[in-house]
Amino acid sequence: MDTQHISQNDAVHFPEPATDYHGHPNYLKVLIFLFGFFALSLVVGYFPLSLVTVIVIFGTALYKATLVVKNFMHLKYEPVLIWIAVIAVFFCLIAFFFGVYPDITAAKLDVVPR
Amino acid sequence: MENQRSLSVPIIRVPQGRLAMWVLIAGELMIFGGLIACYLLYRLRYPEWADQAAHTSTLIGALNTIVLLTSSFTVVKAHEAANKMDLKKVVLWLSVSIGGGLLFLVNKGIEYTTEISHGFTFSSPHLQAGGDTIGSLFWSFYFFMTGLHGAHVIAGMVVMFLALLNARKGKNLHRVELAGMYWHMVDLIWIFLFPLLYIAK
Amino acid sequence: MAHTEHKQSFLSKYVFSTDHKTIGAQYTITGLFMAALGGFLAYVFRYNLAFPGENIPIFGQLAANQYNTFVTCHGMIMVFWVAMPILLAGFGNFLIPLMIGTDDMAFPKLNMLSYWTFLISAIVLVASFFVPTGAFGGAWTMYPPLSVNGYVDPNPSFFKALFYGSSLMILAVALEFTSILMGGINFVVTTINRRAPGMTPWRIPLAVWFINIATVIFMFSVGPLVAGAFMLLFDITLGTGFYDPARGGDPILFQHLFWFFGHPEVYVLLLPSLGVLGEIIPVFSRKPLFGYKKIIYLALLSAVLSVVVWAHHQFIAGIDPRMATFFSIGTILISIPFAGIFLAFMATLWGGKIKITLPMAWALGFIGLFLIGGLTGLFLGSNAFDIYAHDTYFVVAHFHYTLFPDIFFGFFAAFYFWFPKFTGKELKKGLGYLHFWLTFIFFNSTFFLLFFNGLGGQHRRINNYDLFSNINIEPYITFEKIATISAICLILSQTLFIYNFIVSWRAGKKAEKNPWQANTLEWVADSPPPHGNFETVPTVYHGAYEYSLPNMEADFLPQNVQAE
Repeated sequence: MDTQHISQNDAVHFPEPATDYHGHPNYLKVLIFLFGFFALSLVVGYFPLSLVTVIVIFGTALYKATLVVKNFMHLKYEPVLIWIAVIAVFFCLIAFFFGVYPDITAAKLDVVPR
Repeated sequence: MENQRSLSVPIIRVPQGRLAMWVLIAGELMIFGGLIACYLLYRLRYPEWADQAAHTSTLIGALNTIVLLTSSFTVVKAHEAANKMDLKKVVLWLSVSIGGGLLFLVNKGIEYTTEISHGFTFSSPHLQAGGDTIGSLFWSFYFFMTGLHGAHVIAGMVVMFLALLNARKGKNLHRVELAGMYWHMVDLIWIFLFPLLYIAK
Repeated sequence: MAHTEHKQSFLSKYVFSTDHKTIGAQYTITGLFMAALGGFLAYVFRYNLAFPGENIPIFGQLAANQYNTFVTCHGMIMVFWVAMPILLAGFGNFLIPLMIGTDDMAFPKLNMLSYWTFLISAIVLVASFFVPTGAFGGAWTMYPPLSVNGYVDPNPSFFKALFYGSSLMILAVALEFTSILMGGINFVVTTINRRAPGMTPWRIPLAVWFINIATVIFMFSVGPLVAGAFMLLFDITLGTGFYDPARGGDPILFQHLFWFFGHPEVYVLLLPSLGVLGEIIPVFSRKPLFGYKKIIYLALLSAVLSVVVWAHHQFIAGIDPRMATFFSIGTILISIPFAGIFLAFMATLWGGKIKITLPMAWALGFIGLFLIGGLTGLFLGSNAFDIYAHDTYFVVAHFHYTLFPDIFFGFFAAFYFWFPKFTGKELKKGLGYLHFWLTFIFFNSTFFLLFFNGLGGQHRRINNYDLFSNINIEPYITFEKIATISAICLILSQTLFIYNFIVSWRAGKKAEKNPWQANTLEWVADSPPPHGNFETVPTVYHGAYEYSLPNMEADFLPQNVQAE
């Protein structure tokens, strides 16, 4: 229980190397993975655009993003509250996208471009 | 025991600087996410934007992705060194990361120069005069998204530079991590901008 | 932690201060000044509505475009420069550190920067009245294409366009958002990391919970609008076509971006006031708050729902009817958490030893009036009704019945409740009650009649019915006149508040440390709390609402006192 007890002074003058992670990911391995997926999406980009290529391109982008967030930004080691914050961002953006989609993308254009 | 428990603070174990950074990053991601959502909504509405996207330089974009991914790696190495109180390495890795940011901006500058010299500007009057008004909207988005991202690159470099100045004197080493987190966010946004603007044609 | 009495010059103590109480006061006072400006604008255009074409006392003639400008700026100012600084930034700065038992915010300098950014934003907005185009007059929602093409300049240039009223308003709003974001980071981090020992999440007072939930809603909804506002600015200044249908853009997109923020904003404004109610009602009912945890769950539910209801502001914009149904259902659903919260407040009152005091009067007034606003909101939330009522005074009356109690009744409840704490003086009670009753009566006589005018079909965006031959003001003019005269009385009766504020502050009776016998930690500190707030860090032993416990002599148990 003693680690849980933090007086306010501790909160003000936080000890200098301010991390309390229990481990570190192998950063180089993560970087190689990132480059690998990047190369994959680059190659796929030269094929004509279809549903499959789009899924591959943005699937790898999403996976790369999770790699960066989880390993480089150490989300892996953060408490649930931070996870909730990150997931809330996605929830809000998806809500926005699909709320607007019928009006902008799926709407029939009735304005003739100049 | 019960009494002791009620006395303790069930704090979530995040130092306040890092917590604030997460909140800031969530806010920034909402700004960029909203912008990307707007772009996607229009992109799906106008398949003809593919013709405009063909004019972006995949080579420079790919180069910039490599630069940003690598500098993201070096900044996390700086953070690792900061944990070991290895000041020299902190300064080295941070300098490499700032150099990566500079390289990114130089590439971006070359890219912008080429595009502008071909008449693709923020409002692209040359496309509008040619009747391709919808195409000009692509370039508005392109310059706004990459420009806003570029502004964040500059901000990230300034933050890393300040952390470097502190780290040289062995002060405020936790700032290395915070500056690094901001830099990862810049990288994160680019991970999405690159396929949106350069690959998916 | 023991507060050190170091010498501070006047400037560093009251102007460039990093102390959360001073910053809270700065926010609140700036907000009140802006409220005076917003009130003056309301007076001018209300007078014009009741007596079209006549000379307005103090002001003179009101031109049609000036009417638009004044209505626009009234809305803008009241939402972003009155409600936001007073309810979110003001309450947050005053209450969070004191209620969770800490000496200051997590980032005091950021807090100061937040206020000064806010002040600059207010100055930019006021300055927009004096640029050649005049302040922006295309409604506070800034919809394109009107906001883009509002001013026709024969030879436009970037720098000229930067000083249009519309550009300045966008800049001012952007600065304001930045300021509140900086403040918001502070609120969240302070609440999570700097609580006094023993202050577990389920012991945090409701006000702190609600201010934090409001902050989080703000931060998760404002992002897209920040991007969207810049796109609008580029449309105005650089000639891009983000919202120009002739160039492939879509003005509906801006409406979505605006309301994706604009609707959660309603809850950002509402939640801090409800939190204050949650503090006041148990104190004066001498009863524990009914369903403390459930209230917080309901607020969290409303936060989740608040991002999926925004398009109910756009039913007549020609949005997809299937989506309109979806958003109607969402809107009606979101009334459930708020009905729950209000019922919990009423259940707290039930069977309590109710003491009617000044703050309690404002709190009860809030509940009564907000009920009317909330219920009419249900009608407007369903698209079938909204399509007919949208452009009428029904909407005006509805949102004044929600926002006026929320902003002013909420603020005055908090003001009368915490004034003894923050100044160490007592307010004059008689004046306070007079202020309450005048505000209550004149508010109702101003806005209640507008419901009937609205249902009767009076348009809300017309400055002078005489200018249109095919519509007739005759059926509405009586109510309009009553509303205008009441509105003038409503504004004038606020001078009682200012008088009471100044006189009590300078020469009031000295107040006790805990005049209301409340439990929360701010009453442990001295009145006014010194720099650093507490002599020693208080330790918290139980929740904030332990009133009238059995087997106890006193009917309250402060959070820092251990039960026998």
